[in-house]
Amino acid sequence: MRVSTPILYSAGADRIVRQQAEWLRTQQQLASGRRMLAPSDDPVASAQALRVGQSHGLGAQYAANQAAAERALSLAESSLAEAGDTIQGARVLLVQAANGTLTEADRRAIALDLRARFGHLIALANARDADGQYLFSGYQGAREPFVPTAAGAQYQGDEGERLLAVAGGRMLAVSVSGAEIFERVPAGNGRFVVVPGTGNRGSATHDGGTVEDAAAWTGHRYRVQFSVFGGATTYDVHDLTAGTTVASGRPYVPGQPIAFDGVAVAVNGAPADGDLFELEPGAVKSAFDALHEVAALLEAPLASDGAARARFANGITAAMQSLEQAQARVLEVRARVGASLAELESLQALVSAGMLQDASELSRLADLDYAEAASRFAAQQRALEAAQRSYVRVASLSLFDFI
Amino acid sequence: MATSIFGIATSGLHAAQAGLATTSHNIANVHTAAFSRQQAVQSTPLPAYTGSGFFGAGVSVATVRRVYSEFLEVELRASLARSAAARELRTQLRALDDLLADPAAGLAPALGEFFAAANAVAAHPADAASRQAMLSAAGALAARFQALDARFEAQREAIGRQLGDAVAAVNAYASRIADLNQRILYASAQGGATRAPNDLLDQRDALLRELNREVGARALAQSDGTVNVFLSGGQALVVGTRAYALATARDPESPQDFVVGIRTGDSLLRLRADDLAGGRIEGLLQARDVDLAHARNALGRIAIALAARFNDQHRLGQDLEGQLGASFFSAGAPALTASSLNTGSAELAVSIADPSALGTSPYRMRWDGTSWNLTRLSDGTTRSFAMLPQTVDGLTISLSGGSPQPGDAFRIEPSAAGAAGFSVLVREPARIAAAAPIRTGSAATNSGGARISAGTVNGLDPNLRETVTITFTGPNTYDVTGTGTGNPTGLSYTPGEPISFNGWTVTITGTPAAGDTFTVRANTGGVADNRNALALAALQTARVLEGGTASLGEAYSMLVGAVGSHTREAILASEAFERLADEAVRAQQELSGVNLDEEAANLLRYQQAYQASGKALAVAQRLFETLLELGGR
Repeated sequence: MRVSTPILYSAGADRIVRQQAEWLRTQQQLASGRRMLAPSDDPVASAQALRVGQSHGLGAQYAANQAAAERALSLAESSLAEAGDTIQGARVLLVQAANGTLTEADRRAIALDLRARFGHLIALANARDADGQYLFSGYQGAREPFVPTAAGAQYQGDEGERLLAVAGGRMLAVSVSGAEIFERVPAGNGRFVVVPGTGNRGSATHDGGTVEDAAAWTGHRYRVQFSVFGGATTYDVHDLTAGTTVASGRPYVPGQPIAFDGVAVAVNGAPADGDLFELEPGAVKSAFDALHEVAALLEAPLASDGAARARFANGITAAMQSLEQAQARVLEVRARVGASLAELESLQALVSAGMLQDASELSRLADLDYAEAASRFAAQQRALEAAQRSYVRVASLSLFDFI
Repeated sequence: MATSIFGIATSGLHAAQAGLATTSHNIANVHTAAFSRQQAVQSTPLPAYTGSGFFGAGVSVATVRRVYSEFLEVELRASLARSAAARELRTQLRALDDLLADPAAGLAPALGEFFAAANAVAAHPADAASRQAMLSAAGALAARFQALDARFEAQREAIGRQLGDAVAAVNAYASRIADLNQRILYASAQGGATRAPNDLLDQRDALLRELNREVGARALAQSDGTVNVFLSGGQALVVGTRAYALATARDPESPQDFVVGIRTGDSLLRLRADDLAGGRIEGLLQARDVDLAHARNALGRIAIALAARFNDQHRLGQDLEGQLGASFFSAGAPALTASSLNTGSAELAVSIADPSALGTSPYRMRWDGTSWNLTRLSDGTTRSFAMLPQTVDGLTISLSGGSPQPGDAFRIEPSAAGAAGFSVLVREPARIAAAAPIRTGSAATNSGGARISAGTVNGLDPNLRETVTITFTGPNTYDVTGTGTGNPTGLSYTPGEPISFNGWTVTITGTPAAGDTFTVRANTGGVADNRNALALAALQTARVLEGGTASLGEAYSMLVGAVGSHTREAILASEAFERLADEAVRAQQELSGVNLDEEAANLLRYQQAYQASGKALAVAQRLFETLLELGGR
């Protein structure tokens, strides 16, 4: 085989140039820490790295949303906890108020305390978050949810739930409507409320009633009406919804429950002829209205006749029932918020695990193996040096040196 | 006898001198391009007849020939054309590849940051700072789209200029080849069949090699010593002593692009890519018309889909001031160019009907006299329509006026301008429609256990925000009252079944009681509502492209992957073709290249021959002197 002189030079020079290019590439990889300097170095891994990067970014987004959700829910949680305590305090006051030996001044003092708690509860229900948005006003974050009225307080917000995307496919409600917590509280015992007739003249008081047999409970409106005839007190029970009479002429024994259709209402005291109690199912009572009403009841002077005392006692019973329901509702919502917080915690772990996985995948796809690259760099350098030395030797050899 | 010794010795001196001259010529031209080493061919002249037989008459130099193989040279030229094409494609794609290489400079981070900002608005819908941040991120996204597109555009323009340079080089080489043909024609006539003008032939081969680096060209040798040169499509570039010129001109159907044509008389015959196979020109055309066009269209398609889907959702929302959302982004409209050669008056209009059905290929629409033929240029699929409008691949094409003449053509680029025209239309933070325009509620007095969902908005209806009341007349029936509903009564209730009026849909679940009412009303003051912001943020992962199989980010990673793998292919092809070209050079050099050591040996050889002939001459001289001495006595 003939070798021409230009080939002798160019082949050697080409090899050196090629090796230099490879050497430089390794150097660039080492300097940047990136395995792929351009997508063409590994097109599949490049496209994958972009996708994994997007997934990682999404994870970061979920983490940020989770933090925002946690802040909102924690804020709601602490407001609700304090609201529960406030209502509990009011209930204790009502127990005091029920004591018949209190003086007018005592009752006024209790009423004053209740008013203060009312104000505190309004303030809690009108709590704002860090952005200045009301927590419990639904979608209308800029609108104060509760304003005091002559009858208690009026809800001005709506029933909207604010949601946040806290994981792929999971929207978590991070707000609760104030109407649900404070306003739409079932009245009475949760199933029905016992409403004494406004014209009652006797001293009969009720215990609020209970549903003894849920299966027999119809959900109808009932009226219990007393008749006093010849010293004997009897009562009739009418089903107002169905228009039927459930019981008639039953003898009344004070303290004995009046039972029908699965419910029992204990009545004490002496009803007058024609006195009545009505059972209203499905009624709601705002916690604010209940507090306001009972405060007003305590503030009013108490006459000493039996009917007035009965009205007072029934009022306290109704308020106690309402506040019990209100507290139960607050606890229920708190439990829901707590469950959301617990879910958030597990989602946080899930999302951060996913992000960690994405990060390691990203590193596997794009990052340089320094040990491998450094040894490659050294090997390429040696090869380049060898090529340069041999080139000089080959190029310096000429027959012309000898003639 | 002595005279013949003189003659023979002198002829030997001449021959050795010729050898020395040829060797020196070889040494001098060791690095001359396309130089083939030469050899002085010696032969014996006619011997002289004497009574004793034939006596040799010395040596003569028959010719100087170059050591050359036509076959090897043709191979070399073809391999140069292929490797130049591959190398140019690689160079261009590397530039495109590098543009998409930096993970921080591509579209992905800008897209991610924008959706992160949208999510922040969803988390804090009333916060002015979050809203401002979303607008800023949207601006940055628009700038990124435009910057990437501008880089594509710059590269396209650069390719156009390089195409012009390549064409100028081709023309220069062609005319010099024609000149050399002329000189070779004269020289060959002078030298006859056996005495070729070696250096001129080498020069022409050098030019043919250079020509092939620009564009693939075949040379056919003629009997008179000239060569005719043809492009791979068969168009003549040089015929004998005449050269034809290539030229670039604006594409009549796509005036922003230059096409290459060949001048015949006054008109320019447009050459297709197939006619221009090989050389830099092939690489340039391939990079521009295939890869760069694809990258640009794919990017534009992402911009169009993002703008369309984001706008659709944004318009269904309500901003901080209670107004319905406006369009958030705008993207470049599809481009439609009527060929400058059209003779009819037809004007077409094109619009995007479904961004998810869009491809990345341009189209050509042609009227053949009876029907419209729409060709997708990426794969050549043609569909014919008797009439317009038609919707194909997410594009609606309609005739907006005039009438076509047979042969009229239009070029449609659905998404080429998408990224360049991408901009943000919403300027005030308060105008971001993060809320939904309706909200639902239930009466406080409801005694049943039914609940109403938050509701979704599915279309823009003039009565969207009218108050609508759903009143249950029994556990299984309800009436609806409100403007736009037609106040239907006695509708039957199935829990969980969607109830739709006025462009919204709600569901009611649970058991309602007679008299329970639910309302759907305008979301007045709903500044903390983030439902629409959540829907907007969810578009990040929505599969809005490729017929609903790829999200925006995935479509971008597909683009990067496609450019990367094409570049990789081009690099591998270029390395392979370069190796083949090296092989061809080596094979050619093995035969024709100058080896200095060999020439040094030749120098010694001819020097010794010269010295020997000189000695012979000296002997002849002495013989002659001997004779003279004899005569002098």
